[in-house]
Amino acid sequence: MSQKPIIITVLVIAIAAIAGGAFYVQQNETNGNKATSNNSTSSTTESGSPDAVETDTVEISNFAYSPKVIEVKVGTTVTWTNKDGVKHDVKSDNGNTLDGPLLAKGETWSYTFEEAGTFDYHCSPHPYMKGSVIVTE
Amino acid sequence: MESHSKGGVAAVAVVVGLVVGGLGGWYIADMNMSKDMNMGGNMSVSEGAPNASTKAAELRANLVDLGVEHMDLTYTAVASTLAGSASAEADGAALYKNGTDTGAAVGSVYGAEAEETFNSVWKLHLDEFVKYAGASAGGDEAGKQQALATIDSDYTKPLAAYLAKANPNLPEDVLYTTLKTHVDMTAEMIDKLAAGDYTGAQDLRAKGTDHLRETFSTLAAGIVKQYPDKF
Repeated sequence: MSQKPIIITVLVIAIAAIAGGAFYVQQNETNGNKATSNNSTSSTTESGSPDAVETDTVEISNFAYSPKVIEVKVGTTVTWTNKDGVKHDVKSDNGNTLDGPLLAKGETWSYTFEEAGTFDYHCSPHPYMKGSVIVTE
Repeated sequence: MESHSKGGVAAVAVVVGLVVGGLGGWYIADMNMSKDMNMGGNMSVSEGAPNASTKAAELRANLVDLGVEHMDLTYTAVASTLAGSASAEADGAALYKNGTDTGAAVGSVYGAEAEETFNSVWKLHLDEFVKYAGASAGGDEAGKQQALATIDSDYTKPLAAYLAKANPNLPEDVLYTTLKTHVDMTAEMIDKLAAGDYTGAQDLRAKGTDHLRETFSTLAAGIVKQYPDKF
């Protein structure tokens, strides 16, 4: 009996197996890349932090500072307003530059930035909440 | 007839090959995914990990699941209670069971007395939040503040002190702010539900879940550090 049909059959299976496997792995990698790129929709600064928004007002709402990162010029007064029922404040991560009081709902606190730099801050009863002010000349 | 059978054999061969290739490709892709899996924080699980780090991963996964479940069940129980839904009682029961499940997890590490203490203060905070929800729905600001004050004095502070005493890797002040953040987020979420702001409530539910995920992960890490021989 000729071996040819058997050899051809085995070759067909092998080729199909390689093709199928390669296709599956490639599809997974493509989907993985798509997932990664879809998650990277927000642009970032060179330092990797969210884009800074040019504004002098920050809303404290739903346990977050919004915008999270702002950019202002030296001499600008920034005002934080609490919209939550729970009290929040604004405290510097390092030092005492930002040392606001606990704000009840509707209350505000302001600070005038006289020096350039990046001022990271948080809420002292809820350190989970973080924000940053970038001050430029 | 002969050409038909040859064609049939060829077709079967192609199908078998594609199936085998597909399974092989799935296996390779799955292996790559396992290598990339990170359990979060400073803990990670690598391929071929010994039993010790598997137990640590299991502890973390169990505690994190309980934390995530807690936030979901709280949202559901409050929402159904405020809506006067028929499922409110069952939803509340599920939330309380999550509490005793968490107590059992604590007890599995620190013993029966710890489980009992935990269950007692945990139930208190749930009971007070029921009062808080009622006060929020009724516009009773004084009632809300009273509930929060009771939670702070009878749940947040004592639980933080108890856990800090049980585990020196968990500082009391950090535990206190962490638990307080959970309480305050939950209160805000309840206010949003009571006001019909479901978008805001869902946002806080998500944030609260993330926060508890982080909290229970840290708790697990503290336990593993305390008992390296067990994990």
